[in-house]
Amino acid sequence: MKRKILITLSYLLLFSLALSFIYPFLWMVSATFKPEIEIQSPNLIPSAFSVDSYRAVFNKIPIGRAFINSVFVSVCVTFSVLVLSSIVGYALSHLKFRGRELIFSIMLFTMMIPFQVTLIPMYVLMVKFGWVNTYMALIFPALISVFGIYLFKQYFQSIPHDLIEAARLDGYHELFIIFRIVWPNSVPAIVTVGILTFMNIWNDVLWPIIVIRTRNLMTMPQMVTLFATGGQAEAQIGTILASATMLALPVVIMYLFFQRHFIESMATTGLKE
Amino acid sequence: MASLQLRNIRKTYTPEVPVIDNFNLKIDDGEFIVLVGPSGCGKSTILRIISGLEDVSQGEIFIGGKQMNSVPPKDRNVAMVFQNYALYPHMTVFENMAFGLRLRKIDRQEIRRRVSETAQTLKIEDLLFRKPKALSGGQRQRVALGRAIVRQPRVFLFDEPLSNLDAKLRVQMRAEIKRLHQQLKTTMIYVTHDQIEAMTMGDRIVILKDGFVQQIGTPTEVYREPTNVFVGSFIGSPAMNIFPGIWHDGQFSAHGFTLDLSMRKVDFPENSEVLLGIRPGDIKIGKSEILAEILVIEPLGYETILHLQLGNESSTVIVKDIPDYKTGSMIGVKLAIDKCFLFARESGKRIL
Ligand SMILES: Nc1ncnc2c1ncn2[C@@H]1O[C@H](COP(=O)(O)OP(=O)(O)O)[C@@H](O)[C@H]1O
Ligand SMILES: [Mg+2]
Repeated sequence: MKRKILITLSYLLLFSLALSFIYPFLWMVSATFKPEIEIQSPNLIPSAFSVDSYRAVFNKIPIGRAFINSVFVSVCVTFSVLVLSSIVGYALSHLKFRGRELIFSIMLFTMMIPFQVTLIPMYVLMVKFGWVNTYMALIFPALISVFGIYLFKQYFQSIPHDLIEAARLDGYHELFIIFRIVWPNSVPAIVTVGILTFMNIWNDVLWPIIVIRTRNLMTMPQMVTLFATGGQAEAQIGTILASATMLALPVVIMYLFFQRHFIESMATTGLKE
Repeated sequence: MASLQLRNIRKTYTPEVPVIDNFNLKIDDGEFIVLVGPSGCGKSTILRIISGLEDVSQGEIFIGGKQMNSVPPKDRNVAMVFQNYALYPHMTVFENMAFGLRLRKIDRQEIRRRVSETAQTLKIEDLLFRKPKALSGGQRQRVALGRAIVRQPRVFLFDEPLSNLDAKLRVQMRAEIKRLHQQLKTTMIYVTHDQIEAMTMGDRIVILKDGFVQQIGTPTEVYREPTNVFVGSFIGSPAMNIFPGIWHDGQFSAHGFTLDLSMRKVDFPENSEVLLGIRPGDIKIGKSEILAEILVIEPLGYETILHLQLGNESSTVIVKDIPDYKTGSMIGVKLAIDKCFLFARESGKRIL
């Protein structure tokens, strides 16, 4: 009896905690469908259903174009991070060469430098390369990630070295081994790095604001931010929230799709065997 | 199929201590060679050097008469069976076996024919479309063998392939690998720490310790003529009894007993320290001045192993049947003079 009460209590606690996380998000989504006057109320169910806010967003800014830009940039970056970081992670975990540990510790060190420090030098580089206001500035600096390398290295270490040597004796080249032997056995790591990279690049605002001026090249978060803060939304909270909802949608869908692998990998990397 | 030669091989991981040193071995085409030695003596390292997975620090490797030092593993055409099988977890048994053929410009039909033929030999036809996870240890072992066989390599390398199997399966697979060798007639190098496997399987045995070859010979040779005390006590089961003592005037005297070996005409400095070795089967029970206390009796049925306290040393004796001795009682033991070995105490080298 006492046990039952305890379990019920803990469920209640967990439920209210979960609610406090999800409520603002649900409220935002519901607010976008409310008529403008009703938005201030904390209710989750709109009294009347309206898509005026969305219509307003599409009328005021080229959000479709921004969406395509964001997808293009995020897909390129995610793909490249997965391929390049896993190659480096493989080298650091399964190849032997002089200076391996040194290289790894230098990489880890760069992770500790806050990005604000490298922001200006990076911008100067972009200017020197003539990449300001091009896709190159959005994609190139993000092509490989130390975080990805680190996570792949840790995960690949749990793959038996025998497996790799067996493939070598079977006649396969290292690159082939990475994608035909290591990748199929590293799905959780690939999903984790993939989702985190995608979310990171998708949500990034600061860097696009610095390097992109032309409206046609703006990514979604950049455009939404400028829209929300720049006065163009004319203080209509509904339209601002509608643009924010559209911004969040792809990431949410992606997470729901891959969450099983994602959780598994977050739970295993770092505290394996 | 190919002969194989290792010449003056030296391998170091850290600059000071070699893992393998001065290793020489010539293997004829079609021979079954067993490398045996305690764990950590460098057996796997030698296999990895032959396969090209590891470079040598010094020395030369020849396969089929050609120097192979800088030839990458994939071009050496050797196949290895790993201790943990190393099957690709995401592939079916069929794919595991076919994987090594895909690169070799063999057409699909031929691949399928070879895989199913090999599967038949190993009795794994029914498992071809399962993943390794759904197989038992013994079945995985067969698949690992199959993966090596379909490649039709010039040399097979086995790295303790049976050590993860239970005792019964081990005996069965031992015979099967041996039969496979008779059938394929390919050069095989088999690594184990189990001297019984070495004795039962090898045409010749290479006994290793701390990276040095102790002796190379047929099972009979290394059993009858061990070159040193390590080989003597490593080969044979139960192990040879070793008694430390002093050599004096044709006599061996240990704590608790003296043995007159003058009839064997040993030429060895007086009063030097020696080790006497005698196999458990060469000690007889009966009327004798040498008495020993029975510590443990292990009846096996056909024979019985007695653990005795003889002087300072405990020793083992094998007797026929199941005798009715009592633990704790004293019995007389006779050491067969003509079956005794003598080793120098310092170097361990055999004198007699
Ligand atoms: N990659 C390595 N780095 C350093 N030492 C190693 C490495 N591989 C093996 N060794 C050392 O070499 C010795 C022989 O190893 P190994 O050939 O695996 O022995 P065995 O197979 O006979 O048990 C051991 O002492 C081991 O610690
Ligand atoms: Mg080993």
